[in-house]
Amino acid sequence: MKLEYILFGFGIIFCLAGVGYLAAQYVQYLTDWGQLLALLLTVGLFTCLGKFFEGVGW
Amino acid sequence: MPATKSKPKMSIRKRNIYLYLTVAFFLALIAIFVFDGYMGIYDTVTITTAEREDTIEPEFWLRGDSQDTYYYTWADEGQTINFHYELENRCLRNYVAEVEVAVWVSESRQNILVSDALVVRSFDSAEWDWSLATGTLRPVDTPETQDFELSVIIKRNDVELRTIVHVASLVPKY
Repeated sequence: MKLEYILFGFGIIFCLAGVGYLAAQYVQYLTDWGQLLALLLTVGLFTCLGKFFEGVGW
Repeated sequence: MPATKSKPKMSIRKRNIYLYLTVAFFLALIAIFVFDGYMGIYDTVTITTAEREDTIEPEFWLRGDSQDTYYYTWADEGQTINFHYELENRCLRNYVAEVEVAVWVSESRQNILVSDALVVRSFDSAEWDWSLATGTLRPVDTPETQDFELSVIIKRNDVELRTIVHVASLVPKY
């Protein structure tokens, strides 16, 4: 049971790392304004996600 | 046992609003990636030599620094190489393009093939065609049995698109 959770954890980390890597590769082709807007949207995204989990009780 | 003060729980409705906002921000982020990736100035070069047609897509020119990126092609001496250059303006405003195409051999400019300045309207494109007769470009200090190389440099404002052409001599070496 615990091993499964560890494997799930690894899977999630690898997924996030992969998506992060692809995003980082792509971001360099965006214009300065696009990068700024993407940064602001990312901050907003994680803020709202954090507030949601706070509401769930995490 | 003293009663502990617990934080007031967020209503499900308010909580869901945060979830919807998260999804909206995520979708907006993807939209920025798609929109910003589409917008811009794009160069497409097509080189036709004998039976071979190479199309160099805009992605090729966007790789790395424009000074280091070059396309390599080849032809036999005497063959004519046809070039087609398309400049696509995917911006919301007009683009003033000063285009100069020149042949360079050993860091010296031999001749200018195209010299033009025009306004490319928003979401429109401009095209140029020219030919390169390789039979007349041999450097004076290069023996006839030896192959040589030259560069065709398309200069668009501050961007350089460089194509190196290897011209093979048809005179037997031995």
